[in-house]
Amino acid sequence: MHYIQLYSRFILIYLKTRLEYRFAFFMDILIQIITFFVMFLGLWIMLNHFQTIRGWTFYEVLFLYNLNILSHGISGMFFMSPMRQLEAMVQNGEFDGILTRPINPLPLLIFKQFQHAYIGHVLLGIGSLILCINKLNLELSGLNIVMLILVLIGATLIQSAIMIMTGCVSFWFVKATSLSNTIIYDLRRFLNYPLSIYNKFIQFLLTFVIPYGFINFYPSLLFLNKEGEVLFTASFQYGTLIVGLLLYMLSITIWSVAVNKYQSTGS
Amino acid sequence: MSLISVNNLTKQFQRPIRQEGFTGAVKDLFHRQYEYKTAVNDISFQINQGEIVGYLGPNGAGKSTTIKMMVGILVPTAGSVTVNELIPYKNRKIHAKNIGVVFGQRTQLWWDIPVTESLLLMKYMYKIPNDQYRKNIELFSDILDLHEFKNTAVRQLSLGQRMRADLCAALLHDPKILFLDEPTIGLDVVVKEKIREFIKEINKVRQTTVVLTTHDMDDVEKLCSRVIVIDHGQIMYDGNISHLKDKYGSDEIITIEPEHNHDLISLRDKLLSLNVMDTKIKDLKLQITYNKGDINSMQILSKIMSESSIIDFTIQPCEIDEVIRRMYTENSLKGKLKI
Repeated sequence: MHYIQLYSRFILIYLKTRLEYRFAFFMDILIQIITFFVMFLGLWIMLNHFQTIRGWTFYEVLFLYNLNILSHGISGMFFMSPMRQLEAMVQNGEFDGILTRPINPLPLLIFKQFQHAYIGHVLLGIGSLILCINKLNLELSGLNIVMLILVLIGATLIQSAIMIMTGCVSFWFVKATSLSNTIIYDLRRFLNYPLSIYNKFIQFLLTFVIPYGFINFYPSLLFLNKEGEVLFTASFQYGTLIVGLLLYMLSITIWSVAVNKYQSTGS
Repeated sequence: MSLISVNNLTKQFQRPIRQEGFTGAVKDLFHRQYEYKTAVNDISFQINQGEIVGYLGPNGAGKSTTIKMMVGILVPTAGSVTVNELIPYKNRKIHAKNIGVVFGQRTQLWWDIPVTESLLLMKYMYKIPNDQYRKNIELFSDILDLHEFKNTAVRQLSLGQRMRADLCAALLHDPKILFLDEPTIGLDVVVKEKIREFIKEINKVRQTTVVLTTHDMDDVEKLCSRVIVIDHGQIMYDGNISHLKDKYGSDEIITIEPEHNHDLISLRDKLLSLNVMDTKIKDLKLQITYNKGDINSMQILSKIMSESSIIDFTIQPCEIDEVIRRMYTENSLKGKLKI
């Protein structure tokens, strides 16, 4: 309760300072929307040409794509800026200040650095998700809605956990952003298409090592009734929330070890 | 039981050794070697409630590292710190409510928002009750003159204003202990004085314990009831300030500018009969170094004035860094000193 109250204070102040530069604020959001719209367009052109990718139609691929950007957008609003800036904060000793407050360091970092640009992600994600549900005639039963929400929660937890873990690397190695870029951006690109089109190695990597597959591919099988696409075991379709919770717990554990490893700076 | 208890505290840092040149860089990539630097080496002390303790030492002596362990930022390599019966790094959240922290070089406030908003955030973060908050703001505003800049964004404040705002923010939640890392660094005389008064007042009224590091001898003399001197990670002195000065800081320098240049040499020769340590002629001025225990400035001056007329003179007291430097050279010969 205290945290919710405190967070609303921080958000208010964040918005107040950001809205001093109104143009930049809305441009940040707009640019995010445009960037992803262009990617949608690329997908549409390709699928217009080939009709399907291994039996996946345009709207099915879009649905897949959506689960990814929606969950990435939600966790990005909260975790992306803090984890990006962590490296600098650890290097210049600014992290000291975080450790002298009566709030846990991770929530405090999140409170301090909201990232409004990802609102664009989220808006676009919600919009195109509704579009997909319509076009694919997905049944909106109560059970389906609950399932979708649980999948989104799980997917957001997976995205957040991976952001936290890549951020933690800063406590051990200086200049770790290239690593986090590789993991967050380059590997995540595989998620734009069904996991089943890749070779066994990539499938294994994105299921067991960095379980990105649980963000969109596995749950999509459930919603889109793609029995023919099952990889490893069919039960993975229900695994998103569990994988999300486990991975998040792991990331929190790594985080607390990392914080105790913090060496501060000279002064 | 003492409020702060430090026992056999040690902190070691691990730093990679970087080899030179391109081949060195490639070697580092595969086989990295580390060096271990001991910043704080087996120190122990106790601090009681209501004390103002100056924690002194040259740069790199281990002052900040000790403070950071007491505050809960760093985890000790060996030994223990307990503050108000808590182990700081294990109980960060509760510990944080007992302490106030100000780092002179870095603000704890929010850069982009006005001071009042920053202070309000503190209120919510520390769950400060309304009346306590109002009372504190009133009191602090009075002593620190916060009125003049309370609606200004922190980034637009002068260093002195920022420091005052930082102090106020650190004390809003009525902490038992205040940690100050170089609170007067880079400030002008007036602000320094204001800040010292404030610290004294808080200490007197609230019995707040204060631990501060500084390089300013005035801070130490005007504030501290006790000093702990540390060098190379070890405690060199722990005791009251007058004893420290008597023992190590009793050298002063008088610089004299005589009316006639030709007096310089003869003056110097005359002074040899007095009990002074050293005389030097520099830029047509005579520098006399003496020990206050042996002779006082009046004796030297009256001797000189009886011999010749002078235009100007200055008396330069011993700087704390000089005191510490001398202590360190003496102690390294005699071994560790215990008071």
